[in-house]
Amino acid sequence: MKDRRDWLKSAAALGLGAGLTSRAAAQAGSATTAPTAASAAPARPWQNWSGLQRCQPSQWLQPADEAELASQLARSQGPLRSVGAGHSFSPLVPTEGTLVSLDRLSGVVAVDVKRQQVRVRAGTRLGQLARALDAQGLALHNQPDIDVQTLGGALATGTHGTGQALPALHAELQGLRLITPRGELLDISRERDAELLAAAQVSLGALGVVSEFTLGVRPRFMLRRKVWLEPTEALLERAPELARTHRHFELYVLPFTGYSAAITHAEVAPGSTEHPASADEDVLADLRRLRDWLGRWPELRRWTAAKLVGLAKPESALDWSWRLLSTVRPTRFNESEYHVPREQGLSCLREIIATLERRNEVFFPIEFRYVKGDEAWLSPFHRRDSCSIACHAAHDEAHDYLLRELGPVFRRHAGRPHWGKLHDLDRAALQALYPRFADFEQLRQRLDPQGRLLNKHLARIFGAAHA
Amino acid sequence: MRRFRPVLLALLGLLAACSAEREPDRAQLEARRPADARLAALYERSCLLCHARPESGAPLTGQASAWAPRLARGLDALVASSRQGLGGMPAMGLCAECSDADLRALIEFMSSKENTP
Repeated sequence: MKDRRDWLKSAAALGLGAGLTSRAAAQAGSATTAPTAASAAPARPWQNWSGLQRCQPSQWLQPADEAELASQLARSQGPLRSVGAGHSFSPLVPTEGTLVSLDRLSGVVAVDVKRQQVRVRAGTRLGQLARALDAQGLALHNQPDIDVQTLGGALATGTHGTGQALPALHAELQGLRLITPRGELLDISRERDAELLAAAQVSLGALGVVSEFTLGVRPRFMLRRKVWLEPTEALLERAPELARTHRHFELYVLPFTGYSAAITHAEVAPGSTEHPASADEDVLADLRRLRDWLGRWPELRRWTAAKLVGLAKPESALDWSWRLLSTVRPTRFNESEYHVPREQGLSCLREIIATLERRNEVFFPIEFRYVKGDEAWLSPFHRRDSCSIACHAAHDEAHDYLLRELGPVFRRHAGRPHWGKLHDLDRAALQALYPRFADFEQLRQRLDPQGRLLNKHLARIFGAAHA
Repeated sequence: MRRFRPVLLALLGLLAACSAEREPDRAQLEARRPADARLAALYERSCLLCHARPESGAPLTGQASAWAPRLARGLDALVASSRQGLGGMPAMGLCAECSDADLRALIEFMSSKENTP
């Protein structure tokens, strides 16, 4: 492995062994698609899924292939941001400049069954990729809670699922192709330069625009899901053991009920699928009703909920992994999520529950997951096994307390924020949390010296001027 | 406490009663595609991700009964909802490149009785 300073020097020279290709060479790879001004769709406003983040870009770019992407970036001027499915709650996307949508750069390029690797275009949505892999007898090692995100957006923000021995999605990356704002191609692979790959795995879209990923996959597999309700304290006591003995374990604390929902997934031999309809939305609606009716009387709310929840029976399902690990969330919300060291996970969760239950308006379940550490420089799981704690507020209700009141709790536990979810950490705080932060900043400065890929949010994070 | 009866029923439904509902055939839902190849590609990377998932709450492709009250509002209104987002559906329905004509064609496909099993 190269010394970190060595490769930074080579990056500075823009001749690094990772494979910098000139713009012309990139274009030559797809000479049939000439970049044209017509590729830019008329500007229309953008908003994220929750409606919290909005912007009016000057133009949209929607390249159909990598060469067109490189050409368009080279010719564009001013601020530049990439957009995926719009499922980030933090202001990563908003710009008054150019928005790059990779929706047309979609689909599987090649499958290497022997090496268990696939080349995938960055605009491919996770659910689309999962279906394509399934058709080839393959599957992702793990999936996040939802699967409408583009692969590019999910990897750039450190998106993850749950599983004590399973890392976040980006840890499975074997390579990627990154187009800098100047239109130059960096072909990065783990074999050639693991350090550069570690830098680019989680990039917040601040190094360039990724056109394609090479991702490690595995043979497809079936999971047995079990869901049950249990008094929260009893479940928290058992959580470490449940996480150790199941491929996937997570829990949802149901606030003001004294109960939590436990969810395990265990890999099993293929069998006939059993997939009852999800009742998540019904439960959410019930929790909201309990809040609306009894919110002023927390003890009555808790007593009523306990009486009702205590009668529930466990649920079981059996299906292919991609059909069970991810779902669709019809109820819009805003969200903050932090990742704390594994050993502090449960104590932090207890503090979060106590803090949230001081606010009678809270009704959204609190999500608690396990994630294995990895090596990516800006991974929230960088060199530390973690527990993730996610808190939500309905999209049309106040959410400021997620930062104001929960933020200090997470910070006391050395929490690192999910990049795509609400947080208010500045550069100084992030530098203290990420040992390779300065290295990333140097690389970012070299690949984007004009700060074209920085919007207001990222300029605050990286302490640099934006275009 | 009678007013809490719906809550009780729903909470019981959390873990027990859901299998009593007639579950749509997931394989059939997954298999449906517009005949036009370009439209099929748009559908695969946007609409399908929710409109072929029973748990999404979205009207399912080919589920005529779910589409009927929506179609009563007129196609123009449905296209406008797709552009602006509605409920859990984001603005443009996950299809940044879709034109109004594309959105209209996709809605027509998903709501078509021909796709009803």
